[in-house]
Amino acid sequence: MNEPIEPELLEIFEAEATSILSLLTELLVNFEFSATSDAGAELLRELFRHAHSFKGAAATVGREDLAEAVHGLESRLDNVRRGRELPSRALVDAALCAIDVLSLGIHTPLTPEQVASANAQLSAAPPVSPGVREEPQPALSPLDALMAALTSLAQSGPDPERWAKTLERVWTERTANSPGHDAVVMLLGQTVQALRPGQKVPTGLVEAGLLAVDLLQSIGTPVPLTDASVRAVLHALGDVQATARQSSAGNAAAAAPATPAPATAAPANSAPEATVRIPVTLLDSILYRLDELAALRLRLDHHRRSIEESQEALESAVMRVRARQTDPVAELDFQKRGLERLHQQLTQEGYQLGLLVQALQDDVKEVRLVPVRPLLTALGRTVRDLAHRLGKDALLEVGGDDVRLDKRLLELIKDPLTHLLRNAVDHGLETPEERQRAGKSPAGRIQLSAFARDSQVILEVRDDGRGISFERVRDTAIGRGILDAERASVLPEREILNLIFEPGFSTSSIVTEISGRGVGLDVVRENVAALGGRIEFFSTPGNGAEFRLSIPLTLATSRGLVVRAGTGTFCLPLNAVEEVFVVETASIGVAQGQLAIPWRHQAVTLVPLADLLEGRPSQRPNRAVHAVLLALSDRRLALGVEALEGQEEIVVKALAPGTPRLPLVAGVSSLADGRLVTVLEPSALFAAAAALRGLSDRRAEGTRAVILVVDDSLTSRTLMASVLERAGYQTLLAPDGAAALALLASRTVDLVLTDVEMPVLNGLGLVEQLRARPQTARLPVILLTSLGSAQDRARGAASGADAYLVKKEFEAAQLLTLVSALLARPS
Amino acid sequence: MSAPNGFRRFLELSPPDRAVLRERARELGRPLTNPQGEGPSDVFELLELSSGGQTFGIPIEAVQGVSELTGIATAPRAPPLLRGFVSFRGEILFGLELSTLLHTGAAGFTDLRRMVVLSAGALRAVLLAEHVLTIRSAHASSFVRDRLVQHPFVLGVDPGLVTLLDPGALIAHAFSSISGSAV
Repeated sequence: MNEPIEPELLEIFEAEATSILSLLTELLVNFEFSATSDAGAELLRELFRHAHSFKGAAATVGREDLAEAVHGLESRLDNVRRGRELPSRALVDAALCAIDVLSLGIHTPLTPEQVASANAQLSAAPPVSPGVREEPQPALSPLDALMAALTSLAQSGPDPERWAKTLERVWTERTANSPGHDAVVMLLGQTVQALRPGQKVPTGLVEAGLLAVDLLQSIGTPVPLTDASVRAVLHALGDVQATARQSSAGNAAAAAPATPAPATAAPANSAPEATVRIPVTLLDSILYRLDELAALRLRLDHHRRSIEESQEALESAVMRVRARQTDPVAELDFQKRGLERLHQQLTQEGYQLGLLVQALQDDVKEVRLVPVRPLLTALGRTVRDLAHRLGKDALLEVGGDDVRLDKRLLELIKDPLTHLLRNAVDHGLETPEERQRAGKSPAGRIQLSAFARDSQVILEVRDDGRGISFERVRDTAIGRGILDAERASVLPEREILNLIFEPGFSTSSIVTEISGRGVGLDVVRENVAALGGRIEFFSTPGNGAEFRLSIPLTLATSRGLVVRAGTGTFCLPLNAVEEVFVVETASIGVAQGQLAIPWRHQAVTLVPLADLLEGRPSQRPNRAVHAVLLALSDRRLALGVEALEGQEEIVVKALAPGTPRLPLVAGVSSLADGRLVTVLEPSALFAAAAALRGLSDRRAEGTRAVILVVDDSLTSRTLMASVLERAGYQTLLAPDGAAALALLASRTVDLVLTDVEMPVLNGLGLVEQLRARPQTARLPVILLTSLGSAQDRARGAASGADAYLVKKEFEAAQLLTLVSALLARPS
Repeated sequence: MSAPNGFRRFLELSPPDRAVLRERARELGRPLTNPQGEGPSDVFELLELSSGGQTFGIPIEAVQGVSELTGIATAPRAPPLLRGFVSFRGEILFGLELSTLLHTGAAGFTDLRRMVVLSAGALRAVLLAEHVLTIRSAHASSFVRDRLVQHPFVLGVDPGLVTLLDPGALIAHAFSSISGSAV
């Protein structure tokens, strides 16, 4: 192609190509399940049309790599469409692989090897037509020839002879009589024939031509040709003709060589910038509000001058009063009235400003909302691929409303949804044989729906599989030490079922790359909670399960509860707060070694927030405290705070990029009075409370955790032992790794804190030996060393240790927090 | 024609204040040349600040801005050197207290009135200071390493007992100790 492509056009192409590939994926997955039905035939037409459009669009912007790479897909779809081969799973597999390759090329050109691989994938899928002889590759159909001519037009400019032949074929070989057909072909012919050889192709001609081809293709199909669609194409062609006439009138510059070409493609390896599409009306609204703000700023400037004038007037008045030139009372009264007027004006402006800022916030929130459906449909591929690997058949049905969600939320919700879908396929759906025995269709169905409810979006993942077995959950929880048999016999069924959200719980007996790692639903719940959402589930054994996620519509602003704890002021996201009440000391009891308060006939753990934030065991409050009841799914935690300051609208700001994260901190917000407060992360507070419980449990049981301190330096050993013992731990000491192993042969310890550089057996060797022995394979180990380089840390991580601390940066509080977290971890 | 606003304000100042400003202007206007006249110049500009009764110098290139400390949010379970979160032009950054980092006397909370925003590559943090004293030229050679001060972020101390800091090493050290280096 001679002319450089405008970057804007490339951006449009990239958005369109992404959308087409997503649509192709969705259509292919659906096609597989309905290939032989009428609906399948329609899907096939759609598939072919989109593959064809992709090719045309790619050629239009000079992306020959993509046009070539999609060719194999288009040909195979055409073969199926024409009955030359039958649809098959192998073909759908190959087509999806080809789409994967095409996706790689949206922003960065494909290499020749990638192009070849996209087509090779399809060539490798054998056509299912054993009784049919191999047909020679047919000549291009008239419309394909027209498409090729359009592509050539974009690449090499007008070729009148070729166009005459092509249009003649389209005219004479039409399959149905239609006035629309004739009008479109005539106008297309006139438009192209009017171009001189070498003349610049008018903007929009290729796009209008592609529209025309689309329209011509639909003639003779069940989809009726409407006057409106014909008029739209004729208008598009008419516009192009008008543009061409204007540009050919004295447009000598058109043939002149192009001056330095603008970039024709995004630089290689540059990540595409995240974008959102904004309706013009919304943009207009934002601009209007900004105009209002600018006007308000001018008015405030005017008021500032008024205040200055009032000050001067006041000074003059003081002088007049001193000189006894005026009545002081009358003067004061006059000045007072002036100030009142000013105050009234400023109050009004402040009110206006509040309204404007609120309206702007609403508009910007609206800008960030993007449709949920594309994400949901894209997950159909995940379900299909996973089901095939597991020897199952599964179809994802996407339903619900046309919901929009904050763009960032949508990105963050993808992983939890994928987790739930994987679980549904792996654990929920039965094999085809099992399903048939149960009287179900061989293919499992998973419904993924999104609904808007008030200011929340509800996402549901429902499968028609075996459901969640109460007995299996109970037995697994007991087997994994999450629950003891005695407690299992008294706990309500719902509470036992909720154990599927516990860390380390997995009913899969083997660890696979799909699931069974025991890091599934607990992570899903934490992630959803981190977004300010909740997850709940319902299940009917034998009839499937449903997981329901409730997510706030936007992250832009939320409400927070401002509390005081210890020496600081903090904010708790209000969507995690269930209740606030006062707790008298008399009602604070102890349950399972922890402070607890009665709440709706159950005991809820009470943790003073100040203790939690300091990482120290809970102290019983010696006076009444305010309790903030946090709710995370079915879990409850009461936080004791010194004072409640009230609710506020907050904008939670994340820490600057590159800044280390602190585990309990969600972000920072500015309050209405200008103070900065730390916004706490509810899910992290639950985790921290659980970690403290580990420490408290041991204390309550009188069985202090035993920590083995291994260091060849007597000073270091003594210092560490002293820090740990002051925190309530029991310590054992060893001067090197070999001595530590000898000690471990006769004593049980809960955690090892070891130096790295030691004689006989160093710390890394010690960790390796511990990991190799079944009885110590999961024993928590912290490396505490003076070796602080990145390579040393990497070696420490590779050794299998749980944490790596550098002595030079040693902080006792940090060590104790880490120790309590590791001890609270399920063994 | 009346004097420009700034100059009018200057004329309204007392003679001693005017002398201070003149001296500062001279200092700032002095060319950055090596007075020895030979070899590559080791002259650079530094910003002096005080914290915990000690004076520190930061190469001016690493200073992104200086601002009044208006508010600080508590950082739970953070090491003492992290006094809290601060906001600079809407961005939330760590507020570090040097005196804690160097184990000199900690400043009282109300003594910390200034924020000096440091940047090193993509990383940024705020040094909390009692006062920002001046910006001046200095010779790198006048700062010598003190055997007793082994911190990787201390480049040296000059005869006026100004401790010159390496902003990149300082931020790296602070972030590393805040993150806890957990594997």
